[in-house]
Amino acid sequence: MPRSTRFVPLATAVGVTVALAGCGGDSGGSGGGSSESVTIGVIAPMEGGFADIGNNIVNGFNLGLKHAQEDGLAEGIDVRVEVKDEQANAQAASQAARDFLSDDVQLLAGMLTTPACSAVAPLVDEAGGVLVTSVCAGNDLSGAYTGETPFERTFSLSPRDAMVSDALVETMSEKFPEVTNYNVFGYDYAWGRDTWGTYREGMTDAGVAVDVDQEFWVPLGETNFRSQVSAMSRGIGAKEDSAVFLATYGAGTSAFLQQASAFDVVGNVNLLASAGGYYPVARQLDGAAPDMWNAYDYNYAAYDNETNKRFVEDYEAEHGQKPVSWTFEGYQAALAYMTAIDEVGSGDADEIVEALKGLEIESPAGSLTIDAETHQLLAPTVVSHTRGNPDAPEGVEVLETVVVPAADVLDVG
Amino acid sequence: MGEFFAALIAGVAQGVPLFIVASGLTLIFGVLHVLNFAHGAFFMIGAFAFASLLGGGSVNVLVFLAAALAAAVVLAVVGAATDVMVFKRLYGHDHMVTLLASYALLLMLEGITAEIWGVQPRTQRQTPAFAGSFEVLSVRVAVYDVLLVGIGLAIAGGLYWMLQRTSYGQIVRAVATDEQMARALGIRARRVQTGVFALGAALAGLSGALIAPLVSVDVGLAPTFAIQSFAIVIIGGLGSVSGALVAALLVGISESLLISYAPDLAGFSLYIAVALVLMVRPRGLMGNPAITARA
Repeated sequence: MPRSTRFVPLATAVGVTVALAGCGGDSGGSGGGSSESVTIGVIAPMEGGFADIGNNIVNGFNLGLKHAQEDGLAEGIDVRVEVKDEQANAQAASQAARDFLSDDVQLLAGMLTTPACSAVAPLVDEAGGVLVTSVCAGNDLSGAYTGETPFERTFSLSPRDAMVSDALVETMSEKFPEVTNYNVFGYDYAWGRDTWGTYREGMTDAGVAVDVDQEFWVPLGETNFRSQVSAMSRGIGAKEDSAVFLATYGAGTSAFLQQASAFDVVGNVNLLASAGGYYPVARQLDGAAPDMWNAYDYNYAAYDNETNKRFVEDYEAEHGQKPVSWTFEGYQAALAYMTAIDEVGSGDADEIVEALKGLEIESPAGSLTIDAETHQLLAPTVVSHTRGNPDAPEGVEVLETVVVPAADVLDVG
Repeated sequence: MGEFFAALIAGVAQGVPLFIVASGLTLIFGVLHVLNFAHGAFFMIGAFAFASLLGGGSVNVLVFLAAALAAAVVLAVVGAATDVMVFKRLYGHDHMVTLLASYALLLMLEGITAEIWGVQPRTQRQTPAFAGSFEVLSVRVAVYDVLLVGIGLAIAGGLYWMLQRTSYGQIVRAVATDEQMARALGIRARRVQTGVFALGAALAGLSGALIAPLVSVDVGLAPTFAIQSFAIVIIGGLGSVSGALVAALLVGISESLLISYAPDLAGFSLYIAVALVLMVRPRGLMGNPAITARA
């Protein structure tokens, strides 16, 4: 065989490996219609490693739609939901949004990643649609920190990353002012580094002299952390003033905690804290989750009101589990659309955009308003203190919940 | 010195699981010349089967090992079925055809797995006997890492023994070297190929089972480990089991040393190694030129 052809398989393997490595995932949106029938397009990761998140978004959305209809919202209008797979990458999310928009589905909702939302928002502006995002939490997706929305037809329902970090700062600086030596483990991309950066800066501003003992940054999707965990275990100082901060979520958090248990990393620090989705990981650890402080936008025990009670009970009855943040975010997106459609009396995209500005929704987190200028839902952030307990519901004991109002972490609202 | 020793041990612990995953992949390529992207799916199914058999609970050592072997057997059956239904029809075609078929199979198996076990991540608790760590020369070593290293070395030794020291290994090597000549000599090459494919899939299943207590068991496992194990096979040399072992240890130790001494470069060791090997020795560290050329 000629030498030039010998390495074709090798080159092919490398090429496909690189191509596969590039496969990621983002999400897409919803649609509009006439006064008789309105279709909302939900874009969410429905396959692969993030499928659980996508299922939660869609299930939450469907339950929100059902509750809104039961409450008489958008009466006489046939509101339907179509779902497209975001595949957790911006390219697929954009394609899903284009497909929806070209099918005249102009009301879009959902999506997981900030790159996906950033890619879809301009498309929606251009096509005259509407986008209500569920999970994506990049600081620049709404006008929360600038006072003016960057995308005229996009509305953000989840808290911005900085809001989550600042809520954690507010709580940790009060409860653990003596913990100053931080060991950081995070995803090596904008979210991970920004989350830690905001937290560190906030703690310093709050008067806690944060000292970074160690930092480990790993690629998103990596789960073999033996070297990092071993190195971290060797570098942790005195327990009373040491903390581990996790800027990870999902499989990364789970793998870290499982691999760190052999070295008792968590047992050797005074504080384990994280920002971002954590409850599903704690539930997955089936009673073995460590003592953790986590900030995000929801836990089922955070709100004592009828709307939350109905949300939790009905979701549990339908799916056999308690709702999590992603469910809550999907649920709120449906409530926002249904409230807007009810106000407008149709699915007209231009009118829905106007209705969403300053819209008030009755959420499980209380009566919340979408800021008319920033397009940010002014919702509280929830700081949860949890611990694995085989006897607790779903193996997770919620020891304490601190609800941080939006006004505490944002200048607006 | 203590830090270096600790990093070395951590690197071996990091590298051996990669070898266990890659061993089946490189075995299949070495004999069948199939670049099997579905290997990651076999690995994932092994993890799911293992966690499913144990129900996520804590069990004793014997049950743990029996479940790991059962997962390997399940995957051997899946592998054999896959070979008969998919790859047997494609042997002799351009390797791109088998590569695409294996990628399609990966997607199918991911979908089937989601249908059977759902998309919700799950965990498998560690067996108490394998939990925790002990100290060697002032360095803490995880008990389970020692087990994984032992099993990894046993797999490497076992494959070497089988391929080099047994009559079956001779037959396998004959089929790998010249299938037509092997047939002419009366060897039932197709049966040998199916056997090797089943063995490779069983190794993937075993590795999935062994890694299950360390990771979140979900459908995201397949692409993650497929990419890494392909990189290990490329560095070690396509078709070389010993090369995969050397490559996995090299990558694991490099990564660990980078974490300790050059943290800014940590995370790049796999890519640096692939780039260097492709530039300096394109057939891989211990690649067999004949096997590479035949493909």
